[in-house]
Amino acid sequence: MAKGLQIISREEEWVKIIELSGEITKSDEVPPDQILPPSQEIKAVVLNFSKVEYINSAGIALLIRVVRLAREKPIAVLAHGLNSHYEKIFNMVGLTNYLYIYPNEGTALAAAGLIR
Amino acid sequence: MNESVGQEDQIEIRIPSRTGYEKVAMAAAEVIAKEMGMPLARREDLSTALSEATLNAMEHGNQMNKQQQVVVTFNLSTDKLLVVVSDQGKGFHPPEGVPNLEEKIEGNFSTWGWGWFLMEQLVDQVEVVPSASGGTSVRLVVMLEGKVTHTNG
Repeated sequence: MAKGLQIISREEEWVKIIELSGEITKSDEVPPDQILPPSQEIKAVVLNFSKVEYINSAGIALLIRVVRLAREKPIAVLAHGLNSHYEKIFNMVGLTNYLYIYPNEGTALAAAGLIR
Repeated sequence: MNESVGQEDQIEIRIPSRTGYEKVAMAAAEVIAKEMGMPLARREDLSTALSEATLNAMEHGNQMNKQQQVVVTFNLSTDKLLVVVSDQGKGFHPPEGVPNLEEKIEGNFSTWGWGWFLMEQLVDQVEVVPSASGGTSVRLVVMLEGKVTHTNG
């Protein structure tokens, strides 16, 4: 029954834009270093959650691992497309202190210093 | 409450201990809570809390033994919905304390441990009692007009 997590990404200058879709329900489904790029040129990632249907506590554990790895690199982690329920949950957990949420991709990219 | 919903109805579903099947409980909760007239935000909170309670029963109660089921019982009443999630295992104790994200990130600790926290945050009451089958039952109470969930972010 599990749909799993699908990832499509592209890069624009120093920003990697990652579209997540499906379900984030397993902490080990995707290695965090598959989400975060090895490239030294990348200074920020923008996670698009608009096609994510379901996140559970194991998925939150995966996102925390992503944030932890991002801080080590360091790479800024920005996000958009979260519905109000999951934004509330990210707030409850405290993730929004490390993963910054924006209303849409344009504002997230602008926050990353990329003006289009 | 919708007139088609009985005020003291009870609905029970039985789910094998296989991850992914918690969505069956979530779907049932959505239908029942919507029929009861529960607002969307409350239904979403219940759905996430029930997901975590069901997964908890599969993993910690039934030890992912697919021969053991998770029994989810919805008890409807005029002012609240009581959902009882029971495993058929040997029982377990809920974790103590509140997980600390900063410690998990800065201290490189396990990033797990949010399920119980989310349950307690998202519904009006969480209670753990022994189940009739010898395992553990988690009782989630959601008032129709309940609390507004808080955030610490």
